[in-house]
Amino acid sequence: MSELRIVTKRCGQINPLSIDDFLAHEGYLALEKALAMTGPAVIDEVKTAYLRGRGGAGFPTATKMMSLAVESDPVKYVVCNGDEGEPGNFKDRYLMENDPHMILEGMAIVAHATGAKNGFLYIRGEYDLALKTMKWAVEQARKRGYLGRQILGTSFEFDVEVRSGAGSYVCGEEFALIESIEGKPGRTRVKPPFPTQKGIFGKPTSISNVETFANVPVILAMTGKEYAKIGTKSSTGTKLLCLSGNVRNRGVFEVPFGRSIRSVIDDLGGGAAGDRKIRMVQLGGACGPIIPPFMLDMTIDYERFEEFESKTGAGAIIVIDDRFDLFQILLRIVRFFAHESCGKCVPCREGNAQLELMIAKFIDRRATMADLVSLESLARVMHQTSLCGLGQTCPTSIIAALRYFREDFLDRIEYPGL
Amino acid sequence: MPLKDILGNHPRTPDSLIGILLELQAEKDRNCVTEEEAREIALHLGITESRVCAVLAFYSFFSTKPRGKHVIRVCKDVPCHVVDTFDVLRTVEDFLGVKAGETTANRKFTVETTSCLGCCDKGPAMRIDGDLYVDLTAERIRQILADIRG
Repeated sequence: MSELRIVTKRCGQINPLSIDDFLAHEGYLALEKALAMTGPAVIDEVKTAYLRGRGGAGFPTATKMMSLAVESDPVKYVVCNGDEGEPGNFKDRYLMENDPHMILEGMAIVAHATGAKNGFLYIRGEYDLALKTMKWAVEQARKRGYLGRQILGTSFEFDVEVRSGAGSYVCGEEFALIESIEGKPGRTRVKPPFPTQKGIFGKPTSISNVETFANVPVILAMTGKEYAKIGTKSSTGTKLLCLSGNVRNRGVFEVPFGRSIRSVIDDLGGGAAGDRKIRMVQLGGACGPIIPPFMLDMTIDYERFEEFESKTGAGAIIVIDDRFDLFQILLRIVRFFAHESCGKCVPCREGNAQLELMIAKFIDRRATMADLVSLESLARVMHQTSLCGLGQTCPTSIIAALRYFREDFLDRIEYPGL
Repeated sequence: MPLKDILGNHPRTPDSLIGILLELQAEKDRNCVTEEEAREIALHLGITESRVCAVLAFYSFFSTKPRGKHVIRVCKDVPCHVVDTFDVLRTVEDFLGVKAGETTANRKFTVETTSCLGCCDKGPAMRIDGDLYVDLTAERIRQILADIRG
């Protein structure tokens, strides 16, 4: 099995700092095509392609574009979410560092389709090179008339401001990101109203992931109908996967939806490093499920991932071999969330602290059956009652581990029968 | 660059706060924002001092306590952990003689841990100020730190 590089086709082929190189490789042609179409026609094309959000949640992009387009406020914002803080993910960094103009082109097309004139590109503070590359690309695009007023000789105007984060995972959540752009701590808001109604500075705002924007020019160039033929029925197009951990070839790989996780690990990743045995694989990132090797034949698509009740579509595949203990991995994950929780709602703020104590009990073999029951119920409560996506998905690894590695939990309990 | 100049480089609106703080902190040898600076920024932007403090407390890049000239941030998340065969953090701590969260006596280095740096394909990784160091080995870490120490 090999890759299908349609979104990453220019990555590694062009000099990311040269707009001329981008233009020589069909750059900004999709924008030109989009500007010759009406806004609704562009949204229709994205709808036919059935593009779904690549940040993890998988929300249909055309629906989001439509909700922004119907807002009558003259000030609207298109925001690109480059706050890729999910451990195990580095695909957005790869895109921003290797093909920055493609993201700007995608944002401009969405802005044209929805009637927005202003854009923000929020990049996490840890991504120094991506920040520099994108800021440079914005400057070049302005100079050459691909951002600003009268873009490509039309009446369309659109500009993008690059903003840096300052070390906060939760700012990848849309309302936390909005708060951060407004210069506040990244604490989420209660929905509704949704960002497309009241977002940045109370204005309609549409936020999508970097990879989602990078797909938009591809769809315009090849038509939605052709794009929809790639992948599976529920999940069209390709997905950028980030392979990391104990695997021979780590990196970003682009494959059509519908491939199996095993084929990605074996064919593209070259299998487990050092010929060791895979003990477990975490999908999506810290907020994703941990699955045992026998489940690796599952295919990569939104529908299949929904079974884990989590937004696990972000694209991380973290391979963990047999030298590692499940509970040590779980402890790292809960500590990560305990640190990153914004503290606004109780289930997430207090729940993660309690999860940490409970996992420590299993590590020290002090756990009882009652702890196992509490762990399961707490994880469920957090999943169901937390305010934002962070709180709702942080116990996913534990919920999945309790399902697929239950024996390991029982092994740590001295008298499981009692 | 003095704070006054930094303030002048940003629009005088509350949403400039994070950008101002990032720029200010990077300018300083102590890698921190003081109470007086927080007050001055609040006055300039027309926001409360408590709001500036809330932002300083929320984001992990910021500190109100003096730190070393160089801040070393070692990744502690799973993708780096499973490829870390020699313990990156302990290597750094042993070399500098301080623990995570501490600053060396000569105020040259502060050691911290960080959430994922997004270079899991090249882990184990750490970030010193604005520079990323990947594919770490114990030998390489000692070399990097010795070079910065000068």
